[in-house]
Amino acid sequence: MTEPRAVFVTLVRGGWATLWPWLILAISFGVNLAFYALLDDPAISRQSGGLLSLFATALVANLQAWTRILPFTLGLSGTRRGFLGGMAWFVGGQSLIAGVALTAMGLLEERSGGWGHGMRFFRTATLDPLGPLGRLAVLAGVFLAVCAVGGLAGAALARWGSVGIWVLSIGTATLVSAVLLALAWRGNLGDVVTVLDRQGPLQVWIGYPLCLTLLCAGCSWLIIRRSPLR
Amino acid sequence: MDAIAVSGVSRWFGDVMALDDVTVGFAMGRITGLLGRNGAGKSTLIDLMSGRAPTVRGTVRVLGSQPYEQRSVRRLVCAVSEAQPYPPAFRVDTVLTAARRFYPNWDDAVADDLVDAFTLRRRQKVGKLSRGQRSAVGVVIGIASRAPVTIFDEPYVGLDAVARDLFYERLVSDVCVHPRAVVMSSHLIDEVADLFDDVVVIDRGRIVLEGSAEGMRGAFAEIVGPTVSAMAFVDGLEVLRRRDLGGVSRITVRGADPSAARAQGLTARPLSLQEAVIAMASTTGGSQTRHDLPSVGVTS
Repeated sequence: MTEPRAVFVTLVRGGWATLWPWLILAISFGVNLAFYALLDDPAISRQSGGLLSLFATALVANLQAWTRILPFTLGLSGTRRGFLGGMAWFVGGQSLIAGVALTAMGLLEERSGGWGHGMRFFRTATLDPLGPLGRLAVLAGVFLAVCAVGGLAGAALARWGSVGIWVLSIGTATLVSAVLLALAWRGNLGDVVTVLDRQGPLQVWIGYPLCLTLLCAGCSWLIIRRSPLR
Repeated sequence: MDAIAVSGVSRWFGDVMALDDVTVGFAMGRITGLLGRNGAGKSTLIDLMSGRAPTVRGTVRVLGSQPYEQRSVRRLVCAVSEAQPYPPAFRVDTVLTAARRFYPNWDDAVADDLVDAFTLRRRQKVGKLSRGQRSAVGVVIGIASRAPVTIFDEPYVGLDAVARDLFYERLVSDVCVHPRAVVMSSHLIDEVADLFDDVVVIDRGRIVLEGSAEGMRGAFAEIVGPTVSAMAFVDGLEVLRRRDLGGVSRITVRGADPSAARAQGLTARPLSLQEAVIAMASTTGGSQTRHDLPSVGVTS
């Protein structure tokens, strides 16, 4: 068995943690459905933000996969490169499943009139103009990027502990804020929005998440590359 | 050829030198004790030899190749430490099944036998195991991996005396049938002394003793007697430690013949391996001398 495959199988067999996001999503869905069923004011927006719960918990689940499975496989004479290969398969598989499942649920939601209550849980304004394949690609792409961000956080946590997470979070927030402020100061913020609008949803919601995924994967590799990770 | 060859390796952590120009070899088919005090550099050396950490200065060769990030080498090396990280939600079974995927020589029958011998429950979560039971899981992996290079870093922490005895017995019997290079770091030196074919003692990041365990036996002695007579007797010998109390000296020395000392009215006894290591480690710092013992039966 190749090492990436061994890591992949280890992640799948022991990866009950990856089911937690779906359980949280199911709970969120149930609560939202009950809420909108009880609500009788048609003026209130029926767009739920519950789908975010899946992405938030997927981020945490992937962070844990890094902090727990990476040292474990290194302890079993694995390599960092092998772990990254196995993790890529694992995250890729998760993203594909998430894309398929969420697209299917979105179509069901559409056909059932928002589960009988006009609820928009699996659909968003961004996804509406896209066909099923487009929705699948966007949802899978965003899920992949979220997993990659979780992986980067996991790599920082595995190497530097909680200090790593804080430095990464504060550093990223500062960098993003500084870029936005600089753009606003130079009066270019509107131009950026125009460019993004011109690019279309597929480019924005697939292209940029993939770039973010590659960036996070590269940074994660640099973080763990020479670390003993005991 | 040595199974593990370490040459001129140094390693710093900040301004702390963990390893200082270490050159040492570990022979195939032998069990070598890697001994030393806490913080002597044992675990750092093991990290480098197992390919878990990169070598910054010097070279480490395991079965002829550098091990860091080399799967072709790493798969032939099983390093089990007392701090082996197991995902707490994994069951014992999950851990062993994962280990089977990583080690090409893995032996299921040996693993099953050891799991029963250590009375481990396969369905139990690792996070719920006692420290001794977690150590037992590491021992099972170390022996059942049948890795040509097997390294144990204080593998017995928390194991009771019966379980430790079981570990030693199973390790020796398995190594007899399936020869490999075994390196074991240990604090319980007297308990494991009979296991070792060779001994390497490390102190403050430097190798201070290397050789066969057989050569070690009888190589060191403690001479006790009036200071003047004792000092006269050890004159010209290598003195490791001397303690004086009211005109009586207790001198740890290398290469003395205890019977000759007794003939001069002195008290003399050969040191055990543990006592010798303690004497080595407590030699005044800064100018540690490397001792090479006779290589009785060393194959390298």
